[in-house]
Amino acid sequence: MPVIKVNYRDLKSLLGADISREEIIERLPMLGCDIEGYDEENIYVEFFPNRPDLYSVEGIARALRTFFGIEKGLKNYELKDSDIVLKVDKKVKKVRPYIVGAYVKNVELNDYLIEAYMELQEKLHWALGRDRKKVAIGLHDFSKVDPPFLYTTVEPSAIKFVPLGMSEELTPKEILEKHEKGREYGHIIKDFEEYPIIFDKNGNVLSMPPIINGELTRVTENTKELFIDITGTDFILVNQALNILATAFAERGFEVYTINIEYEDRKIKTPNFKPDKKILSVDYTNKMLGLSLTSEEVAELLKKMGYNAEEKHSYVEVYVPCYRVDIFHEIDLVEDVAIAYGYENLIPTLPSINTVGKKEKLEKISEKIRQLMIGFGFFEVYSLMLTSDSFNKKAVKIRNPISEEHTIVRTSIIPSLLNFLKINKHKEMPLKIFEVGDVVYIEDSKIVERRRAGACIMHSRANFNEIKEIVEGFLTSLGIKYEIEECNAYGFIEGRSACILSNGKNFGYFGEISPDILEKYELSYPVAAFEIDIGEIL
Amino acid sequence: MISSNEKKVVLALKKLKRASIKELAKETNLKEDAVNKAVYYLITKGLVSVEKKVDRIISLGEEGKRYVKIGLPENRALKYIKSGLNTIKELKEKLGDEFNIAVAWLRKKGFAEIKNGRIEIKGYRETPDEKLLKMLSERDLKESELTEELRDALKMLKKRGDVVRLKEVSELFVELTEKGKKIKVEAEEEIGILTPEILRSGLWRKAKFRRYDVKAKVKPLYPAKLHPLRRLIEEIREVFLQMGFEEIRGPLIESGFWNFDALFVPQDHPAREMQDTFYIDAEFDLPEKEIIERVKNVHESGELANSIGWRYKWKESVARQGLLRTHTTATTIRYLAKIGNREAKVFSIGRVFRKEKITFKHLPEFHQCEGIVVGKVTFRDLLGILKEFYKKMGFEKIRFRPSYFPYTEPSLEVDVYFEEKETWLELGGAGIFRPEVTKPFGIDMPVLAWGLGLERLAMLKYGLNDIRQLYMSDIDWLKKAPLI
Repeated sequence: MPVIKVNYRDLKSLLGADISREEIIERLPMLGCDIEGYDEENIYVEFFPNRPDLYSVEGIARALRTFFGIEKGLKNYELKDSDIVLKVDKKVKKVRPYIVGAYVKNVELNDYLIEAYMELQEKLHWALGRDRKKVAIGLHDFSKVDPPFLYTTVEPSAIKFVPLGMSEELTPKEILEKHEKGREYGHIIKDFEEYPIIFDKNGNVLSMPPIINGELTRVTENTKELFIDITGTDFILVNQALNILATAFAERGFEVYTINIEYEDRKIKTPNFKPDKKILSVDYTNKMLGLSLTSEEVAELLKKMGYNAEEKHSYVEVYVPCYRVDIFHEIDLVEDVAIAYGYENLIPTLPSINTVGKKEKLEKISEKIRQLMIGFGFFEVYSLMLTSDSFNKKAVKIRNPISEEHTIVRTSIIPSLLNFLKINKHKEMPLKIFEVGDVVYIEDSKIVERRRAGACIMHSRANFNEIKEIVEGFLTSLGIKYEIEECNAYGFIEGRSACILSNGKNFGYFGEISPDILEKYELSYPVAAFEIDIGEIL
Repeated sequence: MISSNEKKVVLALKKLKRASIKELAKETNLKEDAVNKAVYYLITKGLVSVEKKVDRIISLGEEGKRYVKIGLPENRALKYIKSGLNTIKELKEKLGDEFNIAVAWLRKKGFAEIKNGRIEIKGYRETPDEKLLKMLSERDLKESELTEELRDALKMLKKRGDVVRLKEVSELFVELTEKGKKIKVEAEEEIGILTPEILRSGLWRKAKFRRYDVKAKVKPLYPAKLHPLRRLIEEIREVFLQMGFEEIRGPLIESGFWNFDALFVPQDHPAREMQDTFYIDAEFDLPEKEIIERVKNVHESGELANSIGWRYKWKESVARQGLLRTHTTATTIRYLAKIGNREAKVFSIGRVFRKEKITFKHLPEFHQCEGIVVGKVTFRDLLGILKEFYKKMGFEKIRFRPSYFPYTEPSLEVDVYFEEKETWLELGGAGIFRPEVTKPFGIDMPVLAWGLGLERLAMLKYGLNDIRQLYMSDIDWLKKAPLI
C-alpha cells in the first residue's frame, strides 16, 4: 500500500492552522491510515487503496481541515473555462478509448513539488490505474506546445520523437524496446497495430500514453502553465484521477481551467468538479452503527468529513466531493459518519445472540489424535504444505511457485516429517515426531483434500515392530476395528510395510522407510513411520 | 570424610596391601571407573599412593600356536625316531624344512645325538620352554609373574622366530600411605540402588542409604508437547467456544469465486494477480446460475445492492480459476451462502496462502482465525464482541482505528497494547460485510466479521524473531519452549 511522505511544514501551511506534529501523528490514524514512521521533517503515512484522494499532502491537508474543524463541508474549487481543444480520433477506441485533461495556470514549482507530483502520479497509476492499464497520467509544460491537440494512434514505426529522459529521437516501437518505461509498461499496448499518441497542432508529440511523455514538454521549475492529459480504458476512473490531481493543484492556489474534448460523437468539458448527490437514511445509519443520531447530527458529522449535507428529517442529502472514488453505497457514507463520530467515542455493546459453542467434527477428532500422539511421546511439528516431493501421488501443481522447492501442495504428511528430521538430524536420538494436517492430491481427475495424521521415529534401531506397536495401540485407543495386511506402500522397504484396513477400506499404512528415500532426505538413521487418514476414521 | 566407595577401596588395600585397579575392582565389587574415581579422591586426601608399573604381556605368535597344536619340531623328531625312522634321510623326509631346527634343539637339549648317519636317543624330560608354551596356550601371561626358570625359557623361545610376542603395558598399583594405614574404616552395609531384593529381605532396616549429591547435574527430560502454534490455536478455539461460536472448516483449494468474487473483490484487483495469489491449473464449477447472476450484478452495476458496483465486465472464467485460498473469509462466505438469512455465530481457524518469498518475516503460508456474527447487530456490537474476544485472549487494553477491506464497511483495525514492549501493535481487522457481499446470498442482516493472523501473535508470545522457526522448527526449541 502506498506510503505518503508528508512534509510537516508544508502540511501545516496548507492546513492554515498551527497544529502540533504530535497531535497530527496522534489523530491522523483516526481518519484511517497507518503511521509508518516520522522524522524531524516528515511523517510517513500509509493510506488505504480506497482513498487515493489522500495520496498527496494537499489531499491530507484538505481532509484534516474539516476533520480538525478548521473548515466545514465541501471545498469549492474555482474552475474557469479555457478554449483549448483536444480532438479525439475514433481510432483510439480499440486501443485506449478515453482521454480527459485540464489546463493549469499560475503555476509555481520547485524541486519538492515536482517530486511530490511525480509521486502522486505514480500512486494514482497504482491505485486507480492498475499500473497504467486503466489510467495513465501525463503532465506537460504547456508553453512548449500549441493547441489544438489531437489524441490518435500511429503505426509503431511511423513517427519519431525524443521521449522523456533521452536525447535521441526514437520511434514508438523503439521506445518499447529501449526506454526503461517502454520495457516496463509496453505490454499494455504492444499487441495493438497502432499505439496511442497525443500531438499538438504542429505535430509535436506531447505523450505516448500510457508509456512516456515527450522530452519537449518536460515539467521544470520554470514551468508556469501545466497541461494534464489522462488516458485510459474506464471513463469514470480517468475523470476521478483528473479530479484528484487537479484539485491538488487548486489546493496550492494554481488556477485550474477546463479544456474542450471533442470525441467523434460528443463534446465534453473536463475537469468536472460537480459533487455527486446521494441520499443517506438516518435510520439506516443508526441501525448500522448502533447509535441514535438525529439528521442534523448526521449532517454535521458528514461535513466534518468534507461532504456537504442537508438534513431532510428522515434522511440527509449528501454531496460527495468530486475526488472521492470510494462511495459505492450508503454504507460508505455510514462509515464516514462513524469516523467523524470517532471510533474511540463509540461505546462497545454486546449483542444478545444466544448460541452454544460447538467443535467441528474433523477438528475434534484431530484434537484427540494429537493427545494420543503426545501420550506416545511424540512431539508435534508444523510444516509448510508447499513442497516439491509428490511422494508418488498426483499432486496439485502451483502455476506460479515461489521456488523450485515449493511447486506443489503436499500429498502426504511423511515427506514433511522427513524434512523435519533432515533439519534436526544432528539432534539427540530418538527423534519422535508427528503432524496432524491436510494433504491435497488428484484422484480420478478430482482434487481431494484429506486430513491426515503422520508420525516418524528415527534412531539407530528404529524398526517395523516399534511403529506397529504404536499403530495398534493408537487404533485401539480410538476404538477402531482394523486389520493389517502386507502391502508395498510407496517409500517403504519392500516386505516391511503394511496397510491398515477397516471394513475392507484402506485408510493408512506404516513400516520402515526405504533407504533410497532416507538418502534423498540425507538421513543416516533408520526411520519407521505411519500415516493415517483421519477422515476415514469418522 | 571419605565416601563409601573410598572406604571400600581402603578396606581392600588393607587386605591386599598392594593392588592394581583391576584387582581392587574385583575385591570391592565396584566398577573400574568407580575404583579409579575413589583412588583419585584418596590420593588427593593423601591416603593412598600410586605407582605406575610397566610390564610386558606375553602371548603366542603364529609359530607358537602351531607348536602348541602339533608339538615342537624336536619333540616330533623324537616321536619318529622312537617309531624306528632314525636315519637322517627318513627324518628329513618327514620333517622337511624343520629337520635342521629339530636336530639342533635335540642336541642342545641333550635329547639325542648323531652317530653314523643315525640319530640316537639319549633321554627326554619336559623342559621349561614346553611348560611356558602350555601355559600361554591357556592365557596370556605377564612377564612379572614368571618364575626364574620360566624367564629363561622365555629367552629361549624368543630366539625361535614368531613363537611368542611381547607387548608393553603399564598398570597402576595402589598402596596405602602411612596415613592411610592409620585411618580407621569400618565396613558398613550401604544401600546404593534400592532393589526389590533389599525391600523383600528387610536388609534396608539395618543398612544405611548412601547419600546422593542432589545437586549433581542430570540431563533434563522433556515431555512431548503440542506445537506452540497449535497451543495458540487451542487457546483461541477455547475462547470462541466459550463465547458460543460454532467451528466451521473449508477447503484450502478454492475457486476465485469464493475467495474473491463472492467477497466483492473486483477481478482486476491487485490481490488477484499472479504475484500475490498462488494459482493452480484447475477450473472449478460455480454455484447455481441464480447466485452467479447476482454476484455478477453487484460487480458490474451494483444495482442489486443499491450500489454503483465496480463497473466492469465480470467474467465467469476468472471466477472459475482454481487457487490456494488467501484468507479464511472464503470459508466464511461459503458458510453464509449455505445458511442464508439466519442468525449465526461461527468461527474458523485455518491455513491460508499468499505468494511471499520465505524470509525471517514472511512465509507463503500462515494461519488465520476468523469470527462471524449474523443477526440484528450493529457496529457497536462488533466493538463489544472484539473487546470481549481480545480480553479472553489476555489483552485488556485495545483500541480501534478506521481501516479498509474490500468486503467490509465500516472497517476497523484492532491495536493491542503490549505492556512489556510498551507499544501498540496491530493485531487484527474487522468490519461489517458490505451489502454487495451479503445481498447476492439473500442475507439482509448485518454480518460482523473479524480475523487475525496467528503467526505474528505466536512470535510475540514466544519471543521469536524468525517466523521460520514455527514451520522449520528446531526440536530443542519444541522440547524446551515453555507451555505458559
